[in-house]
Amino acid sequence: MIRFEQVSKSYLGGFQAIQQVSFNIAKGEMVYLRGHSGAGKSTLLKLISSIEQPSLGKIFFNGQDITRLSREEIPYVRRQIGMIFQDYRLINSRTVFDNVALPLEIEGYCSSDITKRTNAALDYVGLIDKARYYPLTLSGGEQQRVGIARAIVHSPKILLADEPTGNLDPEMSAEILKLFTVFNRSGATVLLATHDSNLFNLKPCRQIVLKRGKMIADCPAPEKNGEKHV
Amino acid sequence: MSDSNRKAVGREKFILNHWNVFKRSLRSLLASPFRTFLTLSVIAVSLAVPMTFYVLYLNALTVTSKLNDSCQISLYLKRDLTAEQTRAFVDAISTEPDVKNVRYISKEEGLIEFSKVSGFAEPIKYLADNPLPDVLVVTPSENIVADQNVAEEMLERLISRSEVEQGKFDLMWVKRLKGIANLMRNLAISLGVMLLAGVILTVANTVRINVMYHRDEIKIMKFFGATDSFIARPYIYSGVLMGFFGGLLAWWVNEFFVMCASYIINELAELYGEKYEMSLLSFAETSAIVLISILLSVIATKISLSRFSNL
Repeated sequence: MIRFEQVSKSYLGGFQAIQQVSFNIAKGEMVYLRGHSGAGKSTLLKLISSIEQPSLGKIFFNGQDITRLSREEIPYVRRQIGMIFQDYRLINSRTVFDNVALPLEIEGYCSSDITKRTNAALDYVGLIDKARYYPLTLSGGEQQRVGIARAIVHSPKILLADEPTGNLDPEMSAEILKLFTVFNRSGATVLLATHDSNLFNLKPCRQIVLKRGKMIADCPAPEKNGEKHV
Repeated sequence: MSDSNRKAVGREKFILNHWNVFKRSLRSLLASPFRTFLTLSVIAVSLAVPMTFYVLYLNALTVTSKLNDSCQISLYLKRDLTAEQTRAFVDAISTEPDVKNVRYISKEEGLIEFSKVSGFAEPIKYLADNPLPDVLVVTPSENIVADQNVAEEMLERLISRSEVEQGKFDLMWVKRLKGIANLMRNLAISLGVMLLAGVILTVANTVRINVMYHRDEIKIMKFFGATDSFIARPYIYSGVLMGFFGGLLAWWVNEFFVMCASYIINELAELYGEKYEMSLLSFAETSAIVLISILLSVIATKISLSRFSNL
């Protein structure tokens, strides 16, 4: 699903955010991207979603070389990705429903499909009764669930989450993790950047560990244990 | 580039999508009524000023074209002519090819008219003798009036006749009025160019503020694969709306200016015992103004939107 080949990213001034990283994530896998802040987790996610372009190396997404995309191509790659952010990034002037419907509007769905799919996504995250609310009236956990509903509403091939539980307490984090797990079971690839080891304890998966821009470990998922927590 | 080529979106759905975006744009304009009102006012005033000059120019044009007709030569006849001689002279002038019309005002008629108009009726009664000469008002044919030099030649020729004491000509002040009309037109054009540039700058600035205000929203849309045209669409629509309502408002402001001008002009006209009906902009001209306003707003929006691409 995602393949990095000797990818490096350096910023102006010579700062090396990512150095010679190579890995391959298969379709339907759930992977943690671990590392301290500043290790390059966010940069790696930005490279996948073409927000940044690598200085060296090649990136493949679903078999397509996305290393150097033109401005016109980028939106169509992003439509296959669902993104979740630590700070939720909801549009506060729009209702929960309109926030979740955004990816569908962008892809040009008709309004009856939008209503159907948006309600399904809201139902999935348990917020169907708050569809008419505005994001700022919700709790942090609820806002993040809105973010997840928005990320999955258009059935993306892959879900990229950047510290999705960074602002949440452990109980809410567990709730959120459950949503990822269920979505992953339905066949989608999930890449979850986090420094929160609790998540790993709740749901052990393959881990890619970064340190100062270098990949220092790629641990495969342990044999079935700990699933009972989820 | 349209979004529809990727997804199988029918034409109706596409139109529906546009209609939704249109409604949202209208709502967002109404959401900040004060800012919208300020922008619309600037558009309206900027358009209304050159429009008003244009209307004044058009009216000056109608007035001068009417005056072309009444551009006459007054010939004051010598006082010692006999009635016979006068009649013969009037007939002679009437048959000249360059003369359209001749009106003879005898000195008696002249005195009656003068005492009526001037308000000197009482003192005139005490005059022993009528001081006025017989007057012949000659209206030259149009081809003469059109050319200043030919007209002057004609005047010379008429004055040189032995029956004529003195002759004069009203073309000069018509010329001046035409000059003023042309000034109005030039003012309308140059002010228009400046103010239309002002419209573009104002709208561009409003859109820029709007884009900056929605910067986070635009970023989020981009994360979920929004194309540039998708992001631009609501701004283009609000540009169209601002242009449309600004144009309409400009038309009202212009109508108001012209009504004020009309009132002042009629007060002036009354002093001369005349009534003047101002001609206003036609429906086609008004529509053209609104269209220009929309076009300018869209251009301004496009200029401003080049900014969000670096978000």
